[in-house]
Amino acid sequence: MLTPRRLAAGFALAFGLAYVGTAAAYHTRFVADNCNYAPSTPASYITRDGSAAVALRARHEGYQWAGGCWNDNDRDDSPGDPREDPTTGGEGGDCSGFTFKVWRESLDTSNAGFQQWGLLRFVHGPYTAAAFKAGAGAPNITVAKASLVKMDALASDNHIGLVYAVNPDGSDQIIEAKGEAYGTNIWTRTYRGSASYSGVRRTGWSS
Amino acid sequence: MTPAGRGPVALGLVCMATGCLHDSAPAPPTMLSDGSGARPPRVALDGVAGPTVATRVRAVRSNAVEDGSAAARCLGSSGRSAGLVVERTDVHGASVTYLGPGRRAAYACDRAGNGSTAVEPWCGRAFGRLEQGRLRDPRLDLICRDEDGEPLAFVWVQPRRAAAYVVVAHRGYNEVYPVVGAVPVRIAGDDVDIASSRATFAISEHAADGRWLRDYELEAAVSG
Repeated sequence: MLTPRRLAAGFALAFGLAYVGTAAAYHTRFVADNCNYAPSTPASYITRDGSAAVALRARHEGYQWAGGCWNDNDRDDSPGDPREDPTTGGEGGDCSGFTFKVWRESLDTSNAGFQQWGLLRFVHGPYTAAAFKAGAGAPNITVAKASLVKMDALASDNHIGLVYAVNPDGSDQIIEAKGEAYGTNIWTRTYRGSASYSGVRRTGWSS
Repeated sequence: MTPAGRGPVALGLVCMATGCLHDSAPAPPTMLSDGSGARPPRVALDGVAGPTVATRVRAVRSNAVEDGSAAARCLGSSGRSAGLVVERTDVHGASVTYLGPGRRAAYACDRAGNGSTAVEPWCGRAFGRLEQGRLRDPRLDLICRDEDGEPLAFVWVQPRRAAAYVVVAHRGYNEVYPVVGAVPVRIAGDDVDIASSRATFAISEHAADGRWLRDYELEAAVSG
């Protein structure tokens, strides 16, 4: 089993230094000091509103490329992470890791059931935004954008955000892990009108 | 360490991760994923020891991709192509990689095995942002499964400019991928840690005459 320290060293040597230059020098201890690798717990009754409640707890908690661990103190405990560097050990998920955890999915892509993940459980999951866009994995399907409802997603090749509410003008309030400079929050977006974005639904909600 | 010693060391890293020091290595593959025979590389590669299989690569201009082909299906499902479309067939599966307009992004479609039982030709897709022509992240994809249902890992390697071959050390054999222009090389492997959504590759890069350039362990995480 790979340890987080080995993984960080491996990234820095094999990819970070080669691709990101000096970015690998930045590192926080948020993940090392706070996160765990506890197993998930299967759950049978999960609603869209329950999923929204999980998502709201991630607001203001930051963003971490390839990340998936955050607390609930309404601040980014590792601000200023370099972009697209998975080694920095910061707080937050990235867009696809946030979606995976909020949709309570399984690491096994053939399992459509729900899994409870603790806030501080470091998990990203097997899906990229492009994989979600394609409807990859047993729980996920592509749907027409006009049919999207609360906690469905709009996904492009490089980003995914969840529909939190629809504005009167037809734009959406999207809850999303947007980037290191923005963190995780709700913003009004026009993804629904963009040809780059497709509708994606996690199936199996209880209501 | 001499280059001649690096290949076995790279293979050893894979063995340490998979425990093959305690098991006999499996027989090397006799065919690529499409059923064609596995052949050795045409060039002797410094430091690469043991059975070695050459993967197949085909590069065509995007406007020359045959309508209705698997490559065309890939182009139709992702961003527009500009330039070469690189089709690769290796032991584990196949992939298509191409760059988008302005060389600002790379796109890939991945397939496990020969895809004969699938309705869609591609099970995995990847997108990577390029900055100054280079990827910031290897863009690991873990969606495809082999015939035993185990996840396969696909990543891009961005070799040094002088590299003509990328060699991946697997358990019991090596796989050689020719480099095509400045297009990132999509490689496949099965050293996957599902719990952390990560995968590890033991890689070496070689010049056109087989000269060793560098080797490293690439550990990639699913991201973005």
